Amino acid sequence: MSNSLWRYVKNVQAMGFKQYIRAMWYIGDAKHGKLMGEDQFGNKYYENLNPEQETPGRQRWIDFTQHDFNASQVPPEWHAWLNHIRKDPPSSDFHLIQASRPKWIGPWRENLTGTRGAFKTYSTTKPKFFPWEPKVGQRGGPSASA
Amino acid sequence: MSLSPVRAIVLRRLAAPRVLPVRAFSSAPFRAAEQSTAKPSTSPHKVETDGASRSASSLKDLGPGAAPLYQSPYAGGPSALDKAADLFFFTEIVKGMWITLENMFRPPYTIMYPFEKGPISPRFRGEHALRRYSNGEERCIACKLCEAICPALAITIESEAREDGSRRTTRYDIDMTKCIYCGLCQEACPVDAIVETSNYEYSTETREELLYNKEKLLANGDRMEPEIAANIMADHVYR
Amino acid sequence: MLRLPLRPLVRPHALRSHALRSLSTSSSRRAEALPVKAVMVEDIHHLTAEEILAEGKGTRKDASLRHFTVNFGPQHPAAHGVLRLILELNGEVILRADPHIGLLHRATEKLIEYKTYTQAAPYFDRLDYVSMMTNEQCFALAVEKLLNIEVPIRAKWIRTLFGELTRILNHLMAVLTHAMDVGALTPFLWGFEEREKLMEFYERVSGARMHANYVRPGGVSFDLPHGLLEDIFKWATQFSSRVDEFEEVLTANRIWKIRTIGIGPVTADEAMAYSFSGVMLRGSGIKWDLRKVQPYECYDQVEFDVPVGKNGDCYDRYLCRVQEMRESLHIIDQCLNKMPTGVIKVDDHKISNPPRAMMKESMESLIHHFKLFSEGYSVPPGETYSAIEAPKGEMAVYLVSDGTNRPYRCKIRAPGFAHLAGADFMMRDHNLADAVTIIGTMDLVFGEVDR
Repeated sequence: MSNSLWRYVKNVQAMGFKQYIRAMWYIGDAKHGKLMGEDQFGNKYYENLNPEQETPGRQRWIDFTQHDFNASQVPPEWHAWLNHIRKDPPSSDFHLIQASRPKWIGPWRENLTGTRGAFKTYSTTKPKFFPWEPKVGQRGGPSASA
Repeated sequence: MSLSPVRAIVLRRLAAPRVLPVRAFSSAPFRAAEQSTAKPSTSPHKVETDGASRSASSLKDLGPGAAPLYQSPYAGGPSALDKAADLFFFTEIVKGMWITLENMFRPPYTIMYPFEKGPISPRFRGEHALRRYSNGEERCIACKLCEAICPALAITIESEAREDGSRRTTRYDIDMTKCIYCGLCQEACPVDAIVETSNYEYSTETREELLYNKEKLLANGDRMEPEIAANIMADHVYR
Repeated sequence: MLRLPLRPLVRPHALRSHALRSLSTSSSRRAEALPVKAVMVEDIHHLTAEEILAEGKGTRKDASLRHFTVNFGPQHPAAHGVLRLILELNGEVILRADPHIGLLHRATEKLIEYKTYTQAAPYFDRLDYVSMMTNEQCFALAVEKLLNIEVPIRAKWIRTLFGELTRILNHLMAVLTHAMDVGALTPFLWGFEEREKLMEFYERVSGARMHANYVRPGGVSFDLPHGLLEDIFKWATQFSSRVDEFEEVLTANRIWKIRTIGIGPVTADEAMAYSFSGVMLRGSGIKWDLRKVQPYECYDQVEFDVPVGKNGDCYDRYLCRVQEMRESLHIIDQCLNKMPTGVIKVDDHKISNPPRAMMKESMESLIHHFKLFSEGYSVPPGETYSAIEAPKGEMAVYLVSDGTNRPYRCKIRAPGFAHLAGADFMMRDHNLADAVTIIGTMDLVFGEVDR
């Protein structure tokens, strides 16, 4: 605790009061690091690789813009960085840039379960069976008269 | 933190002889304490085994089924003073609590989940996606290898020729409630169409939302293409 | 701390086999018509109602039934999953324990008969779901024996390495949930920190944290990623001090000792009669480890010791498990040092799929790829029983092939099933609280018991 208490105090000093309140409100820990970038939604991504200050696994973190935050609000480029798959953030990651941005890439949507935007499945094929639609025959036709 | 006290106890216990089961129901009031100190010889002793040396005789030697000879339980054990010190000063409890105290002063390992995430690798097998070629044409050619290999029978495919004559799927359904994420579909796919992305944050409130159809899978691929491509790139030498 | 009054006065384990059990069954006893104080349920089975009522002063109060039957589980947190144990109690003393299984039965053996050999591998992950890769390894060895192939040397070393990582993964769970059931919650949480790291290694090598589907017949599915061995080395250097911490808290602790010493005793004869294996057998003093007596993979090329207990109680088995973790660490070190370079699958593309680059360039490889993933490979007719030393004991697959691409029969020998069969004799005459200890020491996982 002496170690982590000292880290806490130093982080509070480095963050400033306003950031500290925000961090305690959301993350629940005073964390200070370098701002690595910001995604299209305004989420901010931080990193602190100093092993004295952050244990491995806690070195990268996100500050969500929305109050109603959700883990799936992270777009895939930053998702790869936040999950420690990629070493570099997308702004300086050659492979992510090279592979990205064909024209057909769609906008990222968070997981909309529980809302009206939730996915509802449907069949993508033409129906193979059609319901029988009864047709009323002509009354008094030739067969009836015979 | 030194380990020597525990080791010393283990060694002492090694040196002590075995006792008759009769010792176990002594009516002494301090039975519990007696057990903790005087009942010896439960530590494992290393035995080098191989096929040849294991014989019936060695079984008999070791088996508690063999008739034990009575020996004084105090012979070779810790001295009465040691036992009394252990008993009254709670030495081993204090040592254990000291370790617990030490751990309180370590930085916490807890990962604050939605803000910080545990590390995963490019091989991670998560939510499925169908990919496209860079010109926007869908990759899947309806060869149905993934349908054939799926151990959980989660994939259903129907195909038809399109107007331009190329063979494409009309139905590509994955029942994500059946899927066991074994990764065989993406290994089977000859055109890298079906992949398991590294997204694992797709939990839903109803089961119905997990019955993915082709449009949903293609939309997944469209959104996550940069990450998918980078992951395949990172891992391609091993595939 | 003093639990003396709760215990039966006579430590009945020593006496039971002689005096009391002989009362229970033989019909000659009936002629003697000597109602005795019933100690166990079977003791009153041969008695008539009059004889039972004649016991005591013959009053109504004396004749009232003192036994009490309770369901232990399946919702009990110490039941390790879905064990339903019907306990017959006399006060707090267990007279009879009757384990009921089948609540997690998924018909794995039958399902495998309808899957190709490739498709069957993921089912094995889900048998013993705290030691995943050893299950796969067991199946892979059986198929390889039937196919009569030899896997490349690097694949063998990788399997050995991950087999031992799996053993640590399992023993951490076994020892520390055992401790948690008995009341020590803290070491359990430390153990999960280590398990988390081990599961990250699983994830890096296979893509899944638990159900790896990594060991396949003919080798392993992917090569080790760059830098993994270095990270395993770093982990291994710090892990032994973690084991020291667990031991410091538990091994000498008087509460732990009171709860485990003398609890659930198994003699060597009983252990063999009930076909126990693994630590349950070694804790009773029998030197038997399949890694030593019939080495598979690379276990003949590594140096390790097999810890053997003496008294066969829960404490001995605990010490054996802790020591096995240290020995596994020793094996892991040797694996890291001796890991050779080379291929990780057999070169026969009729059995293992060709690399993707090759599949996309050569027509023949593409045909192999299609054949493998649709029809699978045919295994020559024959049968094999191949066993490995899984962390819990002897895990084995009896595989019958009729020459087609699917197994004709796949019988899985799960160690936990045999151990559970011993629950009755181990729990008798113990207190109810000791039932939890004994379930913990048996290291049950219901994925493999129920299959």
